[in-house]
Amino acid sequence: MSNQAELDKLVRSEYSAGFTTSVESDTLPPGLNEGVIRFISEKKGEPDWVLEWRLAAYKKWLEMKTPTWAHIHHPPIDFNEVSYYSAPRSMADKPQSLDEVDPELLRTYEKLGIPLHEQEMLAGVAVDAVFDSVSVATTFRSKLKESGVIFCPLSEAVHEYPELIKKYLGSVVPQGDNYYAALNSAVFSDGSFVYIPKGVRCPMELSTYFRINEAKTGQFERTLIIADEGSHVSYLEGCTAPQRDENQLHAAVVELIALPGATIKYSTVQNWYPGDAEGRGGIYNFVTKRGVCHDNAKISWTQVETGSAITWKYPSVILRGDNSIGEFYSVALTRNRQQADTGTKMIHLGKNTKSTIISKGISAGRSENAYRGLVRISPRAENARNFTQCDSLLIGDQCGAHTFPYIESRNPSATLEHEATTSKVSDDQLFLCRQRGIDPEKAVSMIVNGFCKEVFKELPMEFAVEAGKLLEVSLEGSVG
Amino acid sequence: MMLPDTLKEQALAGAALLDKELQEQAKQQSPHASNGLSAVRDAGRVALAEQVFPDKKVEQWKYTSLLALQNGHLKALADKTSSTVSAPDFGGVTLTIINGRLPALLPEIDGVTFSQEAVDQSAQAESVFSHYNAATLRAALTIKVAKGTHVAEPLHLIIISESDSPASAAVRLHIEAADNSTFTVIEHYVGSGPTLCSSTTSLYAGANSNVQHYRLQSETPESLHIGELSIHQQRDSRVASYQLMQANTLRRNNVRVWMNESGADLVMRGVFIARNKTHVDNQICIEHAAPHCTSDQIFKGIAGESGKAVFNGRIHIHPGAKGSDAKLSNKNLLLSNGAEIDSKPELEIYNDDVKCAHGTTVGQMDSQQQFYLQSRGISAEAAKRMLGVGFINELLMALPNERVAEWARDWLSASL
Amino acid sequence: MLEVKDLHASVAGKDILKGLSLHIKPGEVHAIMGPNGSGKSTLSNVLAGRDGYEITSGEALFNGVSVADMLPEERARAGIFLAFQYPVEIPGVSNMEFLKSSMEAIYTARGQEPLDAVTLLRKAREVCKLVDLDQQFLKRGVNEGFSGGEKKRNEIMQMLLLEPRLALLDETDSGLDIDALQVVAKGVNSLRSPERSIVLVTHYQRLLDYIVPDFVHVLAGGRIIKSGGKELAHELEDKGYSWLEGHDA
Repeated sequence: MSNQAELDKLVRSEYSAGFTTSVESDTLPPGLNEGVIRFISEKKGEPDWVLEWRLAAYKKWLEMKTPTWAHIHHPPIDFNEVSYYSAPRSMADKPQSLDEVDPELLRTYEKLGIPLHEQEMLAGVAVDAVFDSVSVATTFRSKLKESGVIFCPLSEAVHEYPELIKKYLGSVVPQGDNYYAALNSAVFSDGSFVYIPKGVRCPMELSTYFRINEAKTGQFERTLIIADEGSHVSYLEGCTAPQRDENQLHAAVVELIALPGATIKYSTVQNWYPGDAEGRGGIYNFVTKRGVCHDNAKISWTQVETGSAITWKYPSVILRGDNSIGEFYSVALTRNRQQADTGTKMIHLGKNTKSTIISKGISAGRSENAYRGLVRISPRAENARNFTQCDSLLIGDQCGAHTFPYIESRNPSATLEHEATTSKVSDDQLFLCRQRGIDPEKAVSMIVNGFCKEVFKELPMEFAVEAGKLLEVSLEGSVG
Repeated sequence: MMLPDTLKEQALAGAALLDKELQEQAKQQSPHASNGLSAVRDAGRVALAEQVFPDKKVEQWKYTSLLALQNGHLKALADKTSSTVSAPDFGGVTLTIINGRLPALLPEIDGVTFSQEAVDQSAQAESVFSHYNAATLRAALTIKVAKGTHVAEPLHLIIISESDSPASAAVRLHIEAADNSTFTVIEHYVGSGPTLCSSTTSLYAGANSNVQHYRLQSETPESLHIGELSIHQQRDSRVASYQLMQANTLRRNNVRVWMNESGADLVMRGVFIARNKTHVDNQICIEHAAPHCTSDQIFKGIAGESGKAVFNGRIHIHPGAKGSDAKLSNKNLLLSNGAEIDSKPELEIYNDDVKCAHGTTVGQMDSQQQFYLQSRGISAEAAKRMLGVGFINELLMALPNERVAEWARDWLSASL
Repeated sequence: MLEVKDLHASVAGKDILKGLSLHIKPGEVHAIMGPNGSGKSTLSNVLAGRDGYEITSGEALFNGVSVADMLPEERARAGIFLAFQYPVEIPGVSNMEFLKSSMEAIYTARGQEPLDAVTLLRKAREVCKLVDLDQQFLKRGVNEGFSGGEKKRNEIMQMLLLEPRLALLDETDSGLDIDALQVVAKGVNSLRSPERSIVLVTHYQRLLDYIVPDFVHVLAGGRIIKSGGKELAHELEDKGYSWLEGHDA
């Protein structure tokens, strides 16, 4: 068989998380208006100020226009065809422990490889499982509490830690930041809240697992992580959705606050349903992720993006404090008709701030994969440093790979370096591997993994293995 | 009134002014033989009326404000017919254009024809300024190099824009080097006063032709220049384009290269210096539209005091352009607080069989090197100048025309 | 070991090999020489199964089995090793990782237990030493940023580790200085054994001063036009390929 045929075969694979869970759900009929927002707020029993905050965001959103600058194409989204709230009925009266949670829900997560029973879990990883618009379980909470770490659904945090929420919600991504962030601020359902107290090194990895299940439903979660002075936390996020013919909307907001001397490591393995080979269905993933670093703090974003019909996300760091550090490591794989426009923004405000950007884009099939990044050095960011490397790997001659870096410097003591390359998995490379007896499947995955190595080494151990496998599965039957 | 509307009004006034000037002329003398100019002008005026002037929300104008134009450059036409501005001699045949007017006598070179034919370039308009250029043209110059002609000496075009008050001067050049020809052309833009030079140059390189092109822009800091250059390459043509720019009140350098047939090769080198409240914005796009073409670009920029330098370099590999090899390097020095450099190297690739790479750096002068020079008794200022020239010199050393290189070194040293 | 009978092969629709026959027994070292464009590299690529190299008629039997329908990796696992004329760079994939995958696939196919990581590393280090390659190269990407000579030595290193039954060396000597050439020769000679055959494809006679072949064949116009012993190479060196041009008719 020729190398090309091998590649073709490799690029067509199935989406393994595409099953649906049949649970009875309370789902709002599609449509968006003030009533819907009041309903969501009431459902969550929110205090008035949260409702006011939502309504203010809604007003802003109504005045905004859909952004068009990204290198993506899709029919206009009818926001009145989306349901903004769906929750499994069994969750209506808040199960007090895992034993009370609908076994069907637990089985769903088990099938996805995320058992929620603590004794079965990966040691050292606490999980918040979000199913459509609600959190169904958060594990290891009591154990975390021993060290003062708060890890709970945001809907609970609003009641239990109103001071923290009031102070920080929207402090990094304001309500009117952009079109999708404004929408999220109006209708956000659930998400995770994390607080690490001063000087505490979080004893385990924290993770949230997002699952969209209900048809015609959007997911609008909101995550808020606050790492107090000198603390340290590593947080993981995973996402899947069933295989459906229609496009589903996911518009999340993530805010990170790293107070002086704190470190936040945020890793994402995004595997939303990408649609089929013809481009039918799949998740529209419009996400705003941003962190702010105070003095000597560090935020590191690592993402492995293999899913979604459209990915639109730019995890960013505002390096406000002196000596703060921002990092962005990304692997984005697109195949079939997937489109990704993703990258980062590093805004250097403080002195001696440092940022590193490593982006690896892999395009196959008829997909479009764009890196878009901004590095801005403000006038008072003395001695700021940035290093950016973005590489694209193309598999097949019908895909596109694009690089749109913005580099803005207003301080003469700053040093910025940007490098980009584009290459392909060449026939010669494949032939060399095969001549040494290596299977073409293995050869492609070796080459692709080698291409992504600098990013994978940033992922927590379990996820690195996971990501490698995910890439293999995604490429299987998807290269062409 | 919003700035874009103000500018449009003024631009239309400028076009009407030219129309009036031409009617006056027509009364005094018999009309010129038709050379397409009036058609180009009319089309430009119509398009201008339909177009919108960009503001900063338009991606291509993100880093450049047109505020400086509100002083009325668009509505007045620079009217001097002679000039005291001098330009260096680079050898070869010289042709001087003053405020868009051609000399009465065009030069004679074997195998090269000069004419006043105006070629319609509206299909390639990069912005509303292409139409403004068309609508305010006093003359156009077309240069055709015949098949197989080897012109050893460079053609040196001295383009002067000069006025005492805000006014514009439009220039349009169309150069065709036919198959198997060899040709060198130097465009040198000079001038004085607050004049806006609106220039459009189109260069066609025929099959297997070899064209050297220089675009030198050294007008005074108070001037403005919005220029457009398009290069069209046919099979196996080799084009080398060297662009040296001194920033001014508003300098915009739009360049688009079309590699239309296989085997075309492009070398492009650029230098831009922005100091003392001056501004330069380069928008360079290489269209790899055919297989097996190669492009190699190096641009170096320096910004000091409150100067602002922008570089946007786009490489676009079209579907089917397999075997493309494109390289782009943009290196910049930021000398002082208050200065700004914005660089955006873009890759847009629709084919897997390509080799593309770009690199960008923004940094400062090496303090070790500076100290080393100072420790040998060289003043801090002189050391900076030496290092600045050294930073650019790598490009200047590769200039095939020694006299241009020599002039460039002096120019650089004076402007640092 | 290898029996090539009246082999015709084309590359991108162009006929290159036009009736080539060759018989190689276990333990023999054959040199194939010829001017540029004679089809030398085509022969090694056809035998290894490179994409685009098509057998149009005739056959090539490896231990009695036709290789025509075998995938490149199947040929490799059966014991055919090609030392590439232009070794390919694979950035990001370390030499060691690559060797491990290759060794595992080939040893398993042979019915041999793959070496464990520690043994493999020890062995790889020994072999590196033999071909005068710094051990650091094991950690670096496959051929990534290697000099020409280093790439060629890396090919020999892999060959020594994988212990093939038939080694095809495609112009491994070109571009090497005399020191590197001796290192390569030392590596190849250490592999000579009664069970193993070696084919040296080369443009120059000087390699044969260090690896003395049992047979020398001259390839021109896609066919072998003259065969002989090692002295044939010297004759060629003295008289040039034009000496033989009359033979090809």
